[in-house]
Amino acid sequence: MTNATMTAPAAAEFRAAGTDLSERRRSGVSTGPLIDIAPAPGTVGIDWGAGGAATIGAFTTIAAIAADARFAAAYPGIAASALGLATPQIRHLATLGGNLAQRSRCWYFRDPHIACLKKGGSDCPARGGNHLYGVAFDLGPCVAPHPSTMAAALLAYDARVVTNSRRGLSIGELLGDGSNGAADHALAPGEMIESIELPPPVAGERAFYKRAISRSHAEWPLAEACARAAISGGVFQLIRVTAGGVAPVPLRLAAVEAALQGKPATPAAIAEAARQAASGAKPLPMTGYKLDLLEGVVRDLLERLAA
Amino acid sequence: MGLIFGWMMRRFSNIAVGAGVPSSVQVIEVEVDTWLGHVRVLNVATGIAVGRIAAPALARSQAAGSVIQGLGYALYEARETDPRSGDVLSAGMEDYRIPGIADTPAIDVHFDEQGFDHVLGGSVGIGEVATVPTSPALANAIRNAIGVRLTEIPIRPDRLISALNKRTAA
Repeated sequence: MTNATMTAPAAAEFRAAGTDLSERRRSGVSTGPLIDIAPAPGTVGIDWGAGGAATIGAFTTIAAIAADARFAAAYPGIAASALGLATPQIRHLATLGGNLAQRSRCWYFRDPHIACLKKGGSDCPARGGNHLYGVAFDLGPCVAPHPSTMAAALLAYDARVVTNSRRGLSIGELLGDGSNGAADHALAPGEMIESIELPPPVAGERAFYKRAISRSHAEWPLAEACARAAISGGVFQLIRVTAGGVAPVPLRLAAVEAALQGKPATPAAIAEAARQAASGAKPLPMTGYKLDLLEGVVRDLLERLAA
Repeated sequence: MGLIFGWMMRRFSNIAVGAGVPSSVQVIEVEVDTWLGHVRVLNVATGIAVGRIAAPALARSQAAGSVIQGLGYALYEARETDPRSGDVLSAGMEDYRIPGIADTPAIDVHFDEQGFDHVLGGSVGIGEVATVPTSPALANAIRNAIGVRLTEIPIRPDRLISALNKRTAA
């Protein structure tokens, strides 16, 4: 694997389970060389370190993450996110590394006949076109939301990413800030995710995940959120809320957290904090509804945390 | 000409021209999440009058399938296009959404077989009759649940949220 990486042309794409890539190959959006990668030792499964901190191998499947009872007890927000994404068939094949490195689901990007920033084009056709499923936080030239549900969950846990050339990358460093419309991540050519390191969970914390979609299952999120909290004496001692499906990168909802940190977990405080979910948003003409959905998702999670 | 055409249809195709008008009615029960704009269909009861049912199991299956198709039409299916080029953007099953098994409610089918004795064969086609009432019945159920009249389908979260916001602002 290392030799293949070193000798690969810059444009080559890695293929793990191929759940994203196979669709782009079939449509003709991806036509360059591929490097099939197989799990290296230590890149499959969940390892436990000192203080109960977990390290997840990049080749671990989403289904395995969702099904691990010890992991679900320690990091319930990540486990619930894994269980909530895609379909059972996809979850059983797709890897965590692939989930983080997948490409945009924008219907302009996925159309081989339409140029866009992510395919070497000069502008984003969705911005002045049909961006019904676009971003509500307009942070860069591309208006497609980042597709990784796991990234938003890992952001809530301050996860660090290990690649074959770097260590300690935050989710923000891995995916960028949305200003580069040409890329879905900030990995260098030939750079591959190897594992995800998590800090130990906080004593007494709970977490939930929820997405807003039109059907019951099997749909890319219109808005999604992962929230974790430790409530002691009726007061939020820890609160962390992240969102996906609404911005070019997963977002930490700092205004929601600030409204609740050290505050009583009352219905009124939660309702007011949920209204802060849209703080800093810049919706497009067709995506204002996502802010209502985001507020609803966040409020639902906060109420469950306080229950 | 009509008489000749009618005679030919009866003589050669065993089809009669005449008053055998099919009817159907549906009653739908929904749950509406006003925070997330999500509609969950709990129960559908459909009554269909197309005359004598020749193959009951097949007709029941077709009617249930028609209801599911009608729910997709009412809630999910949309041909989204680029406003400048006209390119179809929802050109795959990922973006052109149809109901999944978890979106399928309990469906009760009732056939009223009376009133078609004058029709050759005693019945008419069931076809679209079973699927036509679903979207208006669903919109009526939503109206009954949350007091908002949706006049555009599919009734997606963005449209439901928009309608709710207009009601709040009014």
